[in-house]
Amino acid sequence: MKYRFDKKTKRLISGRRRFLQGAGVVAAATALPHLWIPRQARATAGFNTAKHLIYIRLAGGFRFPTAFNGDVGAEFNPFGLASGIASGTEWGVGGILGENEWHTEELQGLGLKTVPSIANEICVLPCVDHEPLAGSADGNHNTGLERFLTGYVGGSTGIFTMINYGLRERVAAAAADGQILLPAILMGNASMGRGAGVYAAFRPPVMSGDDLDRFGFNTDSVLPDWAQSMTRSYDERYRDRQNPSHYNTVDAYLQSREATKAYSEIFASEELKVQNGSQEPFDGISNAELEDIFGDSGTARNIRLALRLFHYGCPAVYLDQGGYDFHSDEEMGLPARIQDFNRLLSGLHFALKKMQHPEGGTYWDHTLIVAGSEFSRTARGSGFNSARGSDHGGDNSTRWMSMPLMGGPIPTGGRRIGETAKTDLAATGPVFSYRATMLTLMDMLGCDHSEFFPVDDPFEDLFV
Amino acid sequence: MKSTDSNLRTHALIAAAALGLTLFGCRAVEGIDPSNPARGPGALVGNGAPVSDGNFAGGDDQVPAARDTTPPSGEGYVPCDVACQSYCDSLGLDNPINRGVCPSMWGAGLASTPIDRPEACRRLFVDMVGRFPSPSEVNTTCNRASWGETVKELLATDEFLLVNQRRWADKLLYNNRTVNLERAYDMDDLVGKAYSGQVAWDLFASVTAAHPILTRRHDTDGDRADATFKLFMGRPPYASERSDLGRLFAHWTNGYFDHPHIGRVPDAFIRYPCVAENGAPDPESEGQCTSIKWGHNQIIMSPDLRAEDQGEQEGTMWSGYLTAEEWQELQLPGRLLTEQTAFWEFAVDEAMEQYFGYDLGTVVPEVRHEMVEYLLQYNGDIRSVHFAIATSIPYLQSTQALNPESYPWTYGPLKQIQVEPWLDSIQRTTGLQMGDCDHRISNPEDYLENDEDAEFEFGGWAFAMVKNSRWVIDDDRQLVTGYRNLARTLGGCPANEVGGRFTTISILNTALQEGMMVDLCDPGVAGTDDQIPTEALLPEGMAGNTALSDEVAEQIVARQTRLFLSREPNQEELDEARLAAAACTPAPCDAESFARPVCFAVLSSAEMLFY
Repeated sequence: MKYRFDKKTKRLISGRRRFLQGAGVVAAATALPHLWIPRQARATAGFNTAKHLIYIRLAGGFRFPTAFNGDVGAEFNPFGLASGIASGTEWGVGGILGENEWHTEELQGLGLKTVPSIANEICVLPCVDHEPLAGSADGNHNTGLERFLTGYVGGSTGIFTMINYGLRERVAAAAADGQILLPAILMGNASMGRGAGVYAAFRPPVMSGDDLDRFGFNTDSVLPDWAQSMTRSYDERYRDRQNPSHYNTVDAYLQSREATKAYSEIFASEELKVQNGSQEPFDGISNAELEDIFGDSGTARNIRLALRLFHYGCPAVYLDQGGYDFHSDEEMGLPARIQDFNRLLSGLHFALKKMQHPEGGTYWDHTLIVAGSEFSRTARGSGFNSARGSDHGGDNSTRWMSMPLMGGPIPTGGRRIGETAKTDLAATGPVFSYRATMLTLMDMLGCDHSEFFPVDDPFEDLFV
Repeated sequence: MKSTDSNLRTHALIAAAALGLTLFGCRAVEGIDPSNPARGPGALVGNGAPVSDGNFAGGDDQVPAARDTTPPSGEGYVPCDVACQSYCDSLGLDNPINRGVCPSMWGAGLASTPIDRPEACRRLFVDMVGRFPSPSEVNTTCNRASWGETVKELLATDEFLLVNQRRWADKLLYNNRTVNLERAYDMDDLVGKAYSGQVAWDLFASVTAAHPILTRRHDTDGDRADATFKLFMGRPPYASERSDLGRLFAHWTNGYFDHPHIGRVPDAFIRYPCVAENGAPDPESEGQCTSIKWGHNQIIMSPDLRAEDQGEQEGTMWSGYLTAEEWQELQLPGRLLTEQTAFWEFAVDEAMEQYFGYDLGTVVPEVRHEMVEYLLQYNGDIRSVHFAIATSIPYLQSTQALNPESYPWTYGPLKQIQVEPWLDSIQRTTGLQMGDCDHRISNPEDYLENDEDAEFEFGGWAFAMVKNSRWVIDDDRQLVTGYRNLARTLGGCPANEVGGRFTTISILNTALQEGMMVDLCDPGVAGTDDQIPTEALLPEGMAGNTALSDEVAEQIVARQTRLFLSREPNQEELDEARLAAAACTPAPCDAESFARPVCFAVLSSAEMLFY
């Protein structure tokens, strides 16, 4: 659901036109019970335009106005605006995005650009909110993160579980053709992969660039036949002698072992050994080049692995980046810490455009890159709090997650969709619910999201 | 069920003396013990006699026969008529769970499922000690004169405390970047006191609700009330409860304390709302510090010389300066909740969920009622609840029953083992040394490496603190991180920065576990890095090059079944061992080339993941 600020009432109102559309469909369905409502009823013009999603959480609560909604008062963005901004950029490029100590001569030589110079390829939604109709922001670490990961406080299904579930028919169809497609994968907080009941089977695996060498073999390859048989027997006997109520609990593990074998061939691929320093191009870029581009930090290894997993059908990866809970020392700490993120964005912009997608075009053409956080931050009317940091409470500054999106499937690069007042950060344009934003991303991936967030809709604004 | 007055007075004096010293010493805090840096309100309670004698009743009930009547269908409420109730009354059951469940079980004609000692011992050890038992423990600790004696013995172990300290670390989300680690140490000690019978459960709740580990973790009064409600009532508060109880958290605020050895740390501070400029209660604003939902309750504190008079936290006071009386006053919100029946009900429900994996107190409410009475009978000693559960017949049933009834209390509970117990069991049985992890310091490297951008430099004290914790530092003074890295990938040893522990079956968790077993067992006899020594996989005295025979194969399977699964092999497994020996190639195999694949089959089996 999209919300707009009503100047007369000074309140947010829901997108009535959209609501009435929905009401019309329901009314028609009520009047004509046989009427079939296609799944695409909630789809946008961007439906199925992206094959991959990189979803980055700026962990700990990120102070968005310092980066992605920078042309606001100094109490919201004490770092000012960046310089060298690409023409055609509508949104305020915060000064910290121009921090470029990472931008060494070597990386410049490779062709990596600073973030301000690619800002016209990034679209920003200045006002994304967990609960647009709530009286105040949710600035609580626990509940804010719960909302970020699942859409709700106490949500039982993670966004990435929803993605896997939403793509289940595509995966099944590929399997029927003998093709194994990797699922969406987590490289960060595992709660993004919550799931129970019918969704439990679609929970995404949790992995990281450090762990991959453990996955790249089929254990059957090191076991003699009799031992393979013995291994299966131990499991099956244990499962079969349980009370029927416990059968499924144990059987889930047996199924997991079988699935692991199915994926082992993929995991054994040389290309996934992202730390092997290989100079051999794969999808148009070598592992060594990826290391040069992204570096060798934990996040860098994860993103290098993510780009390789995409080759094997993985639709989405989620990763935690940074650690932005700067209650103190933000003034000095944030410009230093943001450097890794700047390099990440720039590296993705460069690498994805160079990489050739197996289905044609470049990876950039098929990949969405989106960043968010559990909430934004506030210094409660000052540039910084007394510890030269910022906090999180219930105000607008905490409230708005000004989320950047980039990649080929985003036709609105450089645009700012929404706006805030410079003085008090009040929304003066559309406000998007976080759940609607997630539905929009799912929509672009071609997911069936009909079962999720029923009172929210994906929005068209990104495609207009 | 409260700390005695004399205890409090003693600690008030100590605190006052400490306060005097700290004020006199320009608020420097020197001389803190790096082996136990605990500081906080936990130290003020539970320093006297245990709240009960620890001789809990109900550890020796005999398994009753089911009453001779047609059992219920297997779904829905189980009625218990006069004859049923009379039958239960005649059984003379002492265990509160047995008494509570009887009308839904034996009295209703449902039989319980027998269990053998190894299966019971294995379950008990994982739940109470946090690892699988060794073969000798199955035959000693789990073979006392009564099961009650076994449980009592385990209740007295440090491992029992650690299991529960880890649970509370998960619940309270210990994280040294969010809250001063001294508070985590203090809270950890408090949990230890509760689970060793030194602190009654209501006092534990009261202190916890106003403990900096909780108050500093949250940002607003309402959030603190919310967290307290969830912790001790098992549900979020209604809006009116949240706002009302939140007023009793109005004095808490978040700030930073300059620790002499580890630099600036986030900690809880006290602010002074509801008072006029002269420090007297302000009639205009005192309602902001007053709760009226559970009677008229008010906390109003006045600032004095201890409050910061300048700087970043001007007007507030570091909570470390609070006296024992002030701590007790601030513990009012927790005390109010402990006066609710629901508080005690949740205490027993939560413990039952911990052991059964389902909410027995809700599906059979009579059990909850009996358990609450039992807990109160022992003055709120939470050990009594654990004793009653671990000696109850519903807990001591096999999971392997094929009874057609679907009532979960008629067969044993099956749970997935958590990461640390799994890793610890493997380390103990294989000799693997991966290090350890300490829930009190989620990010120990913070104190081992100086940040070039920071003004503070860590010294020997910080190193000593980490060295004295459960974290392992090697001879090169480097943190050993193998255990932590693996555990965190699998869902354990949580950093609690924002998320927490998870237990899951997933493709890559499975792959990770299998990969580890390949490293350990080396089924291909390829000489892997972490290979278990051959002699550990073979019966005592058997050489690795012993020619494989049916008898040798059986002995190897028996040895590993005892070692890893804490039980004897069954006939099917022995038959399979002989068949495998016959199939082993290139023939003739020797003992090692047979034992290593067997090791993989056993250690990677579902039986190692569920109990």
